[in-house]
Amino acid sequence: MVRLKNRYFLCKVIFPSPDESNEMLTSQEFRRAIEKAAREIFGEFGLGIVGNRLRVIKVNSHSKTAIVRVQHRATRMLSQLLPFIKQHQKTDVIIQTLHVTGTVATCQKALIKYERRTLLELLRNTTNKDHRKKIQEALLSCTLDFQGQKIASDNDNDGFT
Amino acid sequence: MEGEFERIVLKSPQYHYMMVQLDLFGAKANFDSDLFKNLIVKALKGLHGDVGGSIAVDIIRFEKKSLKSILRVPSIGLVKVWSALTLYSSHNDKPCHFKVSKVSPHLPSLSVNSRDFTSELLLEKV
Repeated sequence: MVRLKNRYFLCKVIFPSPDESNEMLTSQEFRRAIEKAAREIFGEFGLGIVGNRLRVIKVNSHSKTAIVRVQHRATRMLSQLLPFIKQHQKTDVIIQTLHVTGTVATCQKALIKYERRTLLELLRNTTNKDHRKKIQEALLSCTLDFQGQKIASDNDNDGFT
Repeated sequence: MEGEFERIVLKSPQYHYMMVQLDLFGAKANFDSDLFKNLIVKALKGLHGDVGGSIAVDIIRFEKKSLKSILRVPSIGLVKVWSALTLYSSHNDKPCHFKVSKVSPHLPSLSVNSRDFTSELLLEKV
């Protein structure tokens, strides 16, 4: 049997206002939104192709990112229908594809790389003292000192569900 | 028989022509070509979504009595149109189905096929 290949999409959900209180989609809601868009744009045939091994694997409500799996055949279709997911509970959303990989591990690595880069950029660009302090705390919570010990403890699960 | 035919081969035709008949299994319905076109677009949208619905299918001829029609389909969309028509099974809660009898990139070839030849015609040439 030839190998079953999947593609993992690292998606970021962009809300109109960069507010902390924005309700991020749950994995079920995201999956239903993808299926709805597939049915609208590609019909029953497209829904079958995209929905075959469709799974929203991880959703991070803090950084508003999600990892979506589809079968290899559906890569193009999914990347074409993600822009058509426009609404979530009466708010406008934009789904941005950050990365497409062949394994979950590389997708998670890409997520870490992206978050590290955005944290550093945020740190560089913030003017608000409170925000700056929050970002510095966040950076410290995931760094180790020279002995390999964690500098600060992080109590929450970083938003992963 | 040699020299009486001329064979034209077009490698990549732009359009395909289909002869299609709508079979309503005996039910009566008042169809005109607009309603027929509506059905085709509905079938395309059902199976292939907005992408299928945007395929430009033209009705060249439509016969109201037998519900036979000649359609012109861009060749890139032929598979989508043919599959959508084949799988369309109900209209207004009544069963129906599309019979695709002829498909060709050349419109004149839809007018005749060798199955319509009578046996006298075949015997004559020999």
